[in-house]
Amino acid sequence: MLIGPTAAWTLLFFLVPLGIMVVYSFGQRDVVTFKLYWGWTVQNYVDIVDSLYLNSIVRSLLLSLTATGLCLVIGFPVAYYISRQSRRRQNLLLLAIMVPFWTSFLVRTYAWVNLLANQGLLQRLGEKLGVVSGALDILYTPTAIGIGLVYSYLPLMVFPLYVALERIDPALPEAARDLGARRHRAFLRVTLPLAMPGVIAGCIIVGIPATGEYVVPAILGGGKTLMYGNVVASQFFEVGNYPFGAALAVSLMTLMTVVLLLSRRSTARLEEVV
Amino acid sequence: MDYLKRREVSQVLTRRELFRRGAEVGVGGGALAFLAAACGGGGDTAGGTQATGSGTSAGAPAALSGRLDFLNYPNWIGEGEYAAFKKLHPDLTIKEDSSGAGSTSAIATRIQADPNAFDFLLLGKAGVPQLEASDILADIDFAKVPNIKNIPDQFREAYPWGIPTDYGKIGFAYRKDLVNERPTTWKDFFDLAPKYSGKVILLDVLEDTMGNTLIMLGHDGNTKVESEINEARDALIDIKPHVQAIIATDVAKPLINGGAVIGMDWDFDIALAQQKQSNIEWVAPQEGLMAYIEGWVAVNTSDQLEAVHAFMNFHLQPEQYADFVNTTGTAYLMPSATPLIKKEISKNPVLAFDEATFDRVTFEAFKGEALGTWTQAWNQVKSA
Repeated sequence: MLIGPTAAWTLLFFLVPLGIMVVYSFGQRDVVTFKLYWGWTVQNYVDIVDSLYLNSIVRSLLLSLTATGLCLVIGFPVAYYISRQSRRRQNLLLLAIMVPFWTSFLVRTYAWVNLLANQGLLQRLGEKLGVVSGALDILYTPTAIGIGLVYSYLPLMVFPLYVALERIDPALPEAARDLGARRHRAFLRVTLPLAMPGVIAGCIIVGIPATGEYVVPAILGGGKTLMYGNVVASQFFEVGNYPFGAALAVSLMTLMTVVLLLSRRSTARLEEVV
Repeated sequence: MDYLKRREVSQVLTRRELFRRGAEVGVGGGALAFLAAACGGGGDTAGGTQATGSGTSAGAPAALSGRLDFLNYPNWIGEGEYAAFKKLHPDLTIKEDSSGAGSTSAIATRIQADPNAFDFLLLGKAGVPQLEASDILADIDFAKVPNIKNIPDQFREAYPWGIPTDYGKIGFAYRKDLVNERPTTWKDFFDLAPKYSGKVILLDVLEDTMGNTLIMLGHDGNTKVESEINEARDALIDIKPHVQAIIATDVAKPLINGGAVIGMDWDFDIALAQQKQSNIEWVAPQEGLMAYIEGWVAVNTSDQLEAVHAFMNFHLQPEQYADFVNTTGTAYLMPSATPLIKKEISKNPVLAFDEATFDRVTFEAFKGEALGTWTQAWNQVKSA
């Protein structure tokens, strides 16, 4: 009985739309008349095997991996620091991380255009500090996309890491140090393994949406870096070839599901060890 | 006061950069416009706040009632137009939807799913034939729109499905203080790209960027010939290493701040940019240039076609049309409205109607089955 509302919600807003998309991916649409034909064809999936689409998948995966790695490197110390504060301070710091979410994602991404542009705030600040001379030339590059992705997804990495780190009994790394382990060894052998479920959860939460990210590359990439999300959007919004767009989306989703299942298996194994 | 007025037009144009052109054709812009509109656009705007008082000049109108659903760009109407029409027809309400229906395909899908979604809509020439092929358009009875006489024949011929409302050219602009040469052709534009590497902007609108490249190569800007499309693709790939960005929003911004020195852009955007940076020079290339023309078309499932015709006719009164142009800052199609249009628009050489330039214009047209080839080629340019 209790599961009813959740099941209904999942069915209505997740499984049904997903099913529609899968069904669409086997159809064909006349791009002139927009009429849909249900031939149950796999042609859409065959068409994906094209260097244009495969390259965009590879490009998206590489950028997503880089952004996820950077989020982890930056997010871990942040989460660790927060987890070692008093409860009141923890709440304040977590609130500070959440505050940007109160503003539209689109607006925040556009704000980076002004920050990264030549003669933008970042360049002027760098010039004042004497670390930059001349144009930054960052905007509309893959670096700008990377910065945008890390900025956008960093909080999603910090939260699961914080939850995992906060659960670690401070006595455990202390005991390791009492037993002669140096600080970094205690971290590597005790803290990090215990935080691994949070690391994996953070990587999934960041990595999966970052792979299909559309807005950040479109705004900060200057249209020069074709990502998978942009290809999907192009099929839906411009060409009007919904079946092919659906096939592209289903393919990426399948890939991500495989990654998710593999990571779940790793998490389960880790939890058994811990 | 003048500043405030200019500012008002500027704000509209800035919003337009985000919504209107991208919403129709941009590869990136279309979806972005949809997202942007979803974030803040849309809503009902039935009735403005100021009446122009000119609406009654059409004589005693037949009584109309009910509701008209109008798919439009945000703020793409005269500021007093709805109110003035409401004075004529108190029982008729116009409900404007500017929530970002997106591309033609999105509009068609929406209408196919809900035939009563709209009574009439604003759409560019490139998209209308798609709706026509989908059997969505209603025939306009121009006898009920006598003010169509105010629109010159060349625009009526270019947009025969409804009433043409506005048009715009896609040329290029450069910073005359930062570029030594004085380019006048697309060939100049392409030849200068290596010299000003990293400071060149292209439009993220395949019809316009590919179309202008095709014109440079001596082909039809709307060609359906695959080899010609691929030739344009290759020319664009050749200059891509020198391109700073392929964008559909804030296109003139790098030209204003000097981050770029030469870029393809819409005329209205350059007219706006020139207010902020006087060294920006507009070029309507000698080989020719792409242009868009937009207008209102009616949906054949509408049960309010009488009212649609009445509002179309009302919009084409010079007073109302001038209100529309003064509010939006668009290049205009109605010479008889010129005395009522702000001088910063009517006297602006970028926006003003010029027969010689008009003769070189190629209007964006529907690509039909070739749309897939165009999109594929454009995606190859972007992924190169």
